[in-house]
Parts: sequence; C-alpha cells; structure tokens
Amino acid sequence: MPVEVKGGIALRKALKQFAPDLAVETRKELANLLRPIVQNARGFIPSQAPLSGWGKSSVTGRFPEWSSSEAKSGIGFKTTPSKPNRSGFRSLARIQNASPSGSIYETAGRLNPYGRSQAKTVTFSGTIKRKDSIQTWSYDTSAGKNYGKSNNPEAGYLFTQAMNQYGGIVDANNQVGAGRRSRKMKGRAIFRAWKEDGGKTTAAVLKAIENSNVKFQNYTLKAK
Amino acid sequence: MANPSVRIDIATEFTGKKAFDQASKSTFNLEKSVKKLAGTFGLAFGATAVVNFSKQAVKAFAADEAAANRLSRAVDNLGIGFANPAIAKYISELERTAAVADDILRPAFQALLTTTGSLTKSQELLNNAITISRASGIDLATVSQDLANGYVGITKGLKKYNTGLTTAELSSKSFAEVLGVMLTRSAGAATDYLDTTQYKMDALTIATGNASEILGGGLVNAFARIGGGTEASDAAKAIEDIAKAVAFTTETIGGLIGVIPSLLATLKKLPKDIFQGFAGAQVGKKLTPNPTVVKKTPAQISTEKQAKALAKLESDAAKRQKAILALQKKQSDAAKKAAADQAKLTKAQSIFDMEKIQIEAALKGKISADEKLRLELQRAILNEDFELADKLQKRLEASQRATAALQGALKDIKPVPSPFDEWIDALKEIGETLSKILGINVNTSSSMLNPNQPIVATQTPNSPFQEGTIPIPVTTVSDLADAATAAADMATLAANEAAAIAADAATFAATLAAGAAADAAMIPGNTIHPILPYTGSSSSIFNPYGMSSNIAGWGTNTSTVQDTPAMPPIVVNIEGLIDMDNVEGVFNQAMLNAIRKGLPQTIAGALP
Repeated sequence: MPVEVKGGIALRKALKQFAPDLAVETRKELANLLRPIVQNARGFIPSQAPLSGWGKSSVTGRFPEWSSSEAKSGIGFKTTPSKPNRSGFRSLARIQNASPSGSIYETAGRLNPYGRSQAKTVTFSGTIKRKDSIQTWSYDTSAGKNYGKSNNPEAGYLFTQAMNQYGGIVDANNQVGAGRRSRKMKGRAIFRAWKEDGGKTTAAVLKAIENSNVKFQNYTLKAK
Repeated sequence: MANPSVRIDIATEFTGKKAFDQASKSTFNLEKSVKKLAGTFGLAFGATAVVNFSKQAVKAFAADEAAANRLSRAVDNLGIGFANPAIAKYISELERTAAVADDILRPAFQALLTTTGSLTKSQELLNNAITISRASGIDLATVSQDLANGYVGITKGLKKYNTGLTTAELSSKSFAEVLGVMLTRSAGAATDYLDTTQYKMDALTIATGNASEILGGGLVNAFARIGGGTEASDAAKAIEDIAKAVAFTTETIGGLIGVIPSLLATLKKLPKDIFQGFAGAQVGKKLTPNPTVVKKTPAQISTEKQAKALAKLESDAAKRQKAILALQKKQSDAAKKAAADQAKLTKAQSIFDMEKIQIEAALKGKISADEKLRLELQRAILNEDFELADKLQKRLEASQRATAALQGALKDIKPVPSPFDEWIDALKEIGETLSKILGINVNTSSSMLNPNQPIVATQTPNSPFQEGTIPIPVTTVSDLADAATAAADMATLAANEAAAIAADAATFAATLAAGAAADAAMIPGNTIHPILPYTGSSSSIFNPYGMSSNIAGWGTNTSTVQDTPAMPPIVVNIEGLIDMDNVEGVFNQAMLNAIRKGLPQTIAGALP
C-alpha cells in the first residue's frame, strides 16, 4: 500500500527549477534506495523459459514470446511523477515490471490459480479418411473472454504449476488492520523482492523526500 | 509508454483528475464571482442566471443594433446619410425627454420619414404622435403609422381616436384639418404625463432597457435596486453610467486576457485578398480585386452640400404633398361626379318602375281632387322627393281637415220636415172614400194610424158582407210613412228621390185600394192581400235589402251593389289600386275564401 505524500510534485518542480543540484541529488538518492530491490527482483526471473514451448517463436504472435533478458530488463524503478490514475493519485516513486513476458511470469495464477474454467464449450466434430477405414473425431472447446481458450481443460492449471516451479506467488501486502486486501500486490518477482525488503525501502524513500524538502527550504533561506 | 499495470507505488500524491478538476475549478470560480456580484446587489445568481444574462445581453444589443441599422439605411436611401448622427441625437434626446424607448422611436420615425420624405415633417409628426399617444393610450407605433397613412390620404385608421368626425368628414377633410382636431383634443396630454409617476417609471424602464442593451437584461433589477431611494432620472443616469463603466471594464479585461483577441484582431486586419495574389500568380491571372473607391464619409461632405441636400429633400416632400392633395381633390371630384351620374341613372330607371307607371296612369284618369292629391303624394314618396312630399302631405291633411269640418257641419243640419205627413191626410181621404164606396166603416182616426195597430174594417148593417168584423192585417200606412221618414233621414240631399218614392207609394196605394175594392166587390168575403213586409231603416220597397251605392274611387272602398233578392250581394273590400283586368280574379278569390272559411254569403236581413 503506497504512502500518500502531499506537495511531492510541487517540491520536485521547485527543486528542478530553483535547485537543480538538489533535485539531481534527491533523484540519485532515491535510485540508490530502489536499485537493490530491482536487482533482487531481477534475480527471481528464470534464466530459461518456464515452459519449453514458450521460448519458441510464436506462429501467430498473439502470445508474447519468453525472453529472460527482456523480462529482467523490464524490471526497474522510476522517480518521475506518473499520470493520475482513475482515483486521481499520481505515483512519485515506483518499481515496475514492464515487459510482457515478465509480467506474465509475475502474475500468472494470481487470479485463477487453477486456470480458467471451460464452462462455455463448443463441440467440433469431423472424420478422417484412412486407407482402410474412416475415423470420426470430436472435441469441445471454450468460447468467451473469461473462459479458457485451450483445448486442454487443465492448460491454465499446468501453466501456473510450471511457473510455480521457479517461484510461487508472494503476497507483498503489508497492510495491517481491517479492510480488503488488494490482490494486485501479489507476484513472483518484484512483489517477492518487495516482500523480502519488509518496508525498509518505503521508509527510506519517504525520508529521502523529506530530507530534500528540508534541504530545499534551507537552500531558499540561504538564497534570501 | 503507458504506465505498466504491474508495479509497486512507493509514494503517491492525490492531485485529482485533470479535466474534472479544471471544470470544477472553473464552475467554482464562476459561481464565486457571480455570487460576489449578487451579494453586492443583494441578489442571488447561479450559473444559469449568468448564462441567461449573456444571452439577453446579446439579444438586446442585436435588436438595438438592427433597429438602428434599419433607420440608418432608410436615411441613406433618402440621400441624407450625413443626417444620421443628427437623427440619432434627436432620437436620443426625445427618448430622454418623452420617456419613450428608442426601440419604439426608431421604427416610428422611420415610418414617418419614409412616408413623408421630409425630415422636418417627420419630426413634427413624431412629436404629434407622442402627444396623441399619451392622450389616447394607443401605442406610439400604431399612432405614427396611422398618421403616416393619414398623410397620404388613408384616414381609415384615424377613426379609433374618437375625434368626433364622421367617416365622411374624415375622408373629405384634409389631413391637416383632421390632425388639428386630434391635437386639439389631445392638447396637454404630453405635458401632464411628465408630471406623473408613470413618466418616472418609464424613464427608469428606458434606462434599464439601455443598460440591458449594453450589459444584458439580467442585471436590470440589480441596477434598479442600486437606484432606489433617489430620483428616477438620477437613478436612470447612474444606471447607464454604471452599465457603460462595467462594459468598458469588461471590454478592457477581455482585451488584456490572453492573446486570442489580439490574434483575432490581427487576422481581421489581414487583407482578404492575401491569398488571391498568390493563386493568381500560379495560374497567370490577376485575381486581386481592383482597389475600391472609398466613399466620402458624411463628415467629409461639405455643409453647403448638406444644406442643398436637405433643401432638395424638403422641396421634394412639399411637391409630393402637393401632388397628394391634388390627387385627393381629383378623387373627391370624381366621387361627386359618380354620385351625380348615379342619380341620373336612378331617375332613368324610374321610368321602368311599374308602381310609378300605374300612378302616372291613374293621374291621367278621371279622379277627384282629393284622389289626385293622394296620387301625387304617393308619386313624390316613390321619387323620394321629400320637399314635394311634405308639401303634398300638408295639402292632404288640410283637405282631410276640411272634409271633417264639412261632416261636422252636415251633422248640425236639422232634418227636413217629413213630406209624408200630407200622405196621412191623403190616406184618410182614401179611407173615407173606400168606406163610402164599400159601405164599410173604416176607422181612419189617428189612433188607427198607429204603426203598431193594424187597420180594422168593420161591416156595416147595410153592407152586403156578413156580420162580424173582418180583420185586415194591414200595416201599410204607418210603415210607408216610416219608410219615407227613414229615407228622408238617411239622405236629406235625396229629397227628390224620396218625393218620387212617396208618389210611387201613393200610386201604389191607390192601385191597391182600387184592386181591393174590385176584389171585394167581385169576391164576397175575400180579404185584401197584404203588402210585402220589409225591414231595416235604410231600405225601401224598391231596395228591400237596404243596400246603398257609393261611388268608387282611388283610395276608397269599392262596393258592389246587388239588387236582385235571389242573388244576395257579396261585399268585397279592395284596398289600394288594382289593375282593372284583375278585378274578376280578385272577386273570384274573395268568393273562394268566403266559401272556404264558411262565412255567410248573405247579408244580414236577407233571405239566403
């Protein structure tokens, strides 16, 4: 759960405008705080494809091809304010997993640990002519956005199990007290690293912002 | 790159959504500003009021500008465009002094100006229209339009002002005369109006209207409250000043904020043909329009020319008015001539009037003086010759009075002594002669001649008749006397006729006597035949049904005499004059009606 800061964006603008050196210093300080978590998270990315076929080039191109390097490089941090989300909050510092394949590895099975169901199915049937006989075939497949697309009903579950061989999903939510917990703080790489950090980085980041504020005020007082 | 969904937000800050935040901020600031303004004026405005304010301001300004442009164009078309500033000033001053809004004054003045074509006449008529409007309560636009119509001879609309003039007078009198009457009746109305509260209210309304044109109607009430407690005229001026000041401030601020106004102004200043030169160069043609000749502004026209133009305008208007008057006179003369022709035509048509023809025919017949007088009176009435009819009527009345006097005089004439008194003596002598001849004692005393007592003959001893009294039912003597007396009473002037009747009666009586004597001599015991009885005071033995004949004539009842007892007469009253050819038909119709209605077809006293 992020910590809400007031005046952080204004401070950043003020630093950039009136104390560029202090702004650079603050940005470096935040980077030093976040980089260890990033590196730790990158270490949780498998060096090979979790499933043997995932690393092969996709025929249709619809499913992102696995790339360990891309998945590792996709993990990083940013200290520039983001665009406001639907609730009107802007992020001042964040750790992100931006690559497609790395995101899949991060979140696979987070919503449906046993794969999506195939309740909505369509039966396909046909015949196969042999030399000496005619063989008939038929199978059911699912249709719809929220249902499994694979012909294998256990495809989702097997896919999740394959990911779990390299690391299970970790809940990094450190919220205490009553209230609903968001599942969006669960994952295998950055969330695992964040869980292992135990909130120390959060306190350090807030401390760094506060320090920069104090420094800026001192800077302005000196300037007067 | 969009923000990845897989991330850990370490520190966040709530800033709100940008669009929502801006809209909310704008609305908040707008309402805050308006509420601040409303608070100053003691009113409460919302965002809707601000929008309405803007709309009304634009609408008021557009309407005012359009009216001003129409008047300006009308003045330009008259060739006195240089007079526009003066006219605007006149309208403005009139608005202030008469408390009539320029929105009303401009169309009214335009109507008068385009109709009269004269600047001075239009101003004069507009002032008159204001006076008449104040007096009559009719709106100025209607009054000015009516005056404009009246100026060109259309006076129909002037009836509503209750001038006391008839329609004929309105159409026959000149416009100046009618206007004079209207102004006389409306005198003082405009002056009195200036002392009323209504004037002050109107002044305030006009001022707020002007403010509405400048800023918008939405602030009119607010300014009215500002002006409360002071003179209306002062408040009105203050309102106008405030409106102008606010408008100036708004315009200034609008010019200062942003670069859009200056950018638009710059774009407007760019020549419109800026691209035409470039395009023309590409196709090898000159597309740039020729430089337009700049017309002289009104201010650049010399005063001398202005005076000449005005003089020409007034001269043209005077000529036009003269032409209108001439045309009206011509129309009036034509109307009179048409009336005279119509009278002639009516007279000619009267030749074929059957009623008149009958009167003329009757006048040529043998008629009495009184009948002639009546016919002439009827003819005069048909000819609508009132003077002659009146004259004849008086003569007829005089004649009737003379007739009535004559009748009165006739009533006073004493009855002539009955000539039949001598008959009694003669009858007595006859009776004595008869008694001597027949040997019968006939009582010829006066008592025997009592009309109610019959003559009685008694047989003498020497008489060849048997003993006993033979009643003789004779009533002849007294009845004849009564008949003669009645005839004398009825027709004094017919004395000769009565005498002849008396002579006939005497002869008849003698004959009867002779006959009776002969019968008595030849047939013993036989009685003397009585004379036929008769009734009615106006009848005689020769006219047993008592009918009298009158002379038929015009305007009198016509009676038909029926002398035959077996054919009782039918009296048919015919009023008025009928064609003699139709007499038979009228009689037949009368008979049929009598039969159908079951009326008695015999006169009273006659045997059916």
